[in-house]
Amino acid sequence: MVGTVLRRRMGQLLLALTMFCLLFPVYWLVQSSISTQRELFHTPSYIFPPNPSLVGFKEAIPAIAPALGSSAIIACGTVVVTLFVAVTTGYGLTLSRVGAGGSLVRFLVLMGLVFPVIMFVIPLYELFDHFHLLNSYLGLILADSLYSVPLGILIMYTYMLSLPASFGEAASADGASRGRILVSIVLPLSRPAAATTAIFAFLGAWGDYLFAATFTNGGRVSPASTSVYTLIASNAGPVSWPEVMAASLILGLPTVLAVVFAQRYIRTGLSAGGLVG
Amino acid sequence: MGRRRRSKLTRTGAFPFLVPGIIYSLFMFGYPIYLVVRMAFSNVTFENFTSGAWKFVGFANFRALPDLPGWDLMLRNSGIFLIGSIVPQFIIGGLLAVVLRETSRLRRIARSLVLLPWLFPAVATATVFLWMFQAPEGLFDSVLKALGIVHSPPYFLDQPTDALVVVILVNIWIGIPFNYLVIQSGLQAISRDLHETATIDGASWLQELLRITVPLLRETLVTVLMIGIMGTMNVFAFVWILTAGGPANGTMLPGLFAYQQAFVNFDYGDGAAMIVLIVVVLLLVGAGYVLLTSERRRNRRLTRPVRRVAAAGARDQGKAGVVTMVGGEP
Repeated sequence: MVGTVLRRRMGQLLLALTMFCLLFPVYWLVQSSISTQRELFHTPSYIFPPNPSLVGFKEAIPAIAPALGSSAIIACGTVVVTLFVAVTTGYGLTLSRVGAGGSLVRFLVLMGLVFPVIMFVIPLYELFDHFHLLNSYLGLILADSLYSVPLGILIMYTYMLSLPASFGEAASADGASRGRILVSIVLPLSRPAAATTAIFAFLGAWGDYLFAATFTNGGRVSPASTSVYTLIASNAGPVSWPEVMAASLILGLPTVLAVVFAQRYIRTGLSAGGLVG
Repeated sequence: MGRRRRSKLTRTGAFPFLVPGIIYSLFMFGYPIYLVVRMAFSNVTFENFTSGAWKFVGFANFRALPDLPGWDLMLRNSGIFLIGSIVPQFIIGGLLAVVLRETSRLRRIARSLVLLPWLFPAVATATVFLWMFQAPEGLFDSVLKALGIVHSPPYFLDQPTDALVVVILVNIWIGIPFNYLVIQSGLQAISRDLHETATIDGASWLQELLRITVPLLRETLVTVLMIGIMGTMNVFAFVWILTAGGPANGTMLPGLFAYQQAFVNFDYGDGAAMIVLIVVVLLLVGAGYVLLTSERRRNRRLTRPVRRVAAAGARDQGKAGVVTMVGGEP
């Protein structure tokens, strides 16, 4: 009995310690964003700023506001592209012969894993240069969709396959076309899978730095991830850490919201990926 | 899959729905892959990049790679980075998975918060760690000074070894949630009954861990290892912002190396060659993974008794049989 209690206590301690390490950087991000530069440079560091202030946000919001709009356009565009490709392909695969669909999906997932995103940055740069898609929303939307399309197809295909076939059969007996069945029966039933796909597409595009930094040059199209980087990379005087932390916090906000409010969907998506049950 | 009855009707009409996916794959997967291979075997620099009139040079780009600055360090760092990331990630992720299995309200909250580092934007992750490791004002400097460990400020990111440690620490932080998820699902496959019966049978905590949990997690370990290798090859954004591969190539990694050749030195051919090399390594790793896991699946019944025990536990809920089998283990 003593052993069980001790084990339980150890488990709790371990959990607390690990969670502390995992969440401390996020806490530090928050506390630094509401400090002043003076407070941040105080030695020893304050655990919590003595006079919390929003001066960091006052500096950060004008600096990244236009880029946040651009991020939103790109992330929403990526959601649209990903959903369109994933829904149509997922549905098409459920219609095609069983073996072919399954192995194609497995192949796609393996492709998504084997070909790292970084391998696309060089050829896409050339391709987008050719088609005048550098510094364009469309270019970044297409590139960012690479993060989510393979997983999206997998999620949609797996989910649609689990729906009872009788729905579609009854509708086609009534003379409904395939497209009609997709729009009015399969898609409404697949809403949870579509939500999962959309969340992954949005977060992938919102957080992307690789494509954003390579395919844009700091102009109108450049998303927030690049403008936050500009805040630390610019050589104009010392870095204002409250500003950088406030900007980073704003950048991380969609992720925080997704983790807190849409955890169920994130897990669903992962279990569809076959890596996590 | 066989559950679904396929009539002639359901088999037809698939093609129109596959058209967007086919076009997308050709434009976003097929053509870029063709292009990167072609670039890897061509002389592509800043001057002739746009024209597309690239001269075929055979394996010259590949032969040039080992002579480029940072190559040796990149190889060394990849090994250190891989081992240094995977081992702690697996241990911490595994411990989390074990501890978070029990249910309580606090644990439910923890289960959702634990995903945060993995999904956090790379730029935000990089800036917060950059700030924490900033010297002389940052948190770590302050803590080390307070503890009396250092007196002069340590410029973590200005020293190659320290910078590599920092980059690995950040990567561990990012990777723990994913390891936790993979191991958690591996643990779920092990029936709870199996643990209960082992405890009833008098197996100690350590015996249980070594005889039941670890052998059954072997497949999960292979998965985590594979994903770790792929992750190492794919690492870019947060390292680029923290150190850009420096100082003195001290944190150079494969993806950064390829990116640097193409977009800093403007030698797109060398960058593409490096990419092709990375993909070849990943293909080999992927092939090994498929071989390892499918082999195991085929031999599942024939291999170790523990596996049979697990299968039995999952198949029938009859505990008596499981108890005897676990008890039968020396």
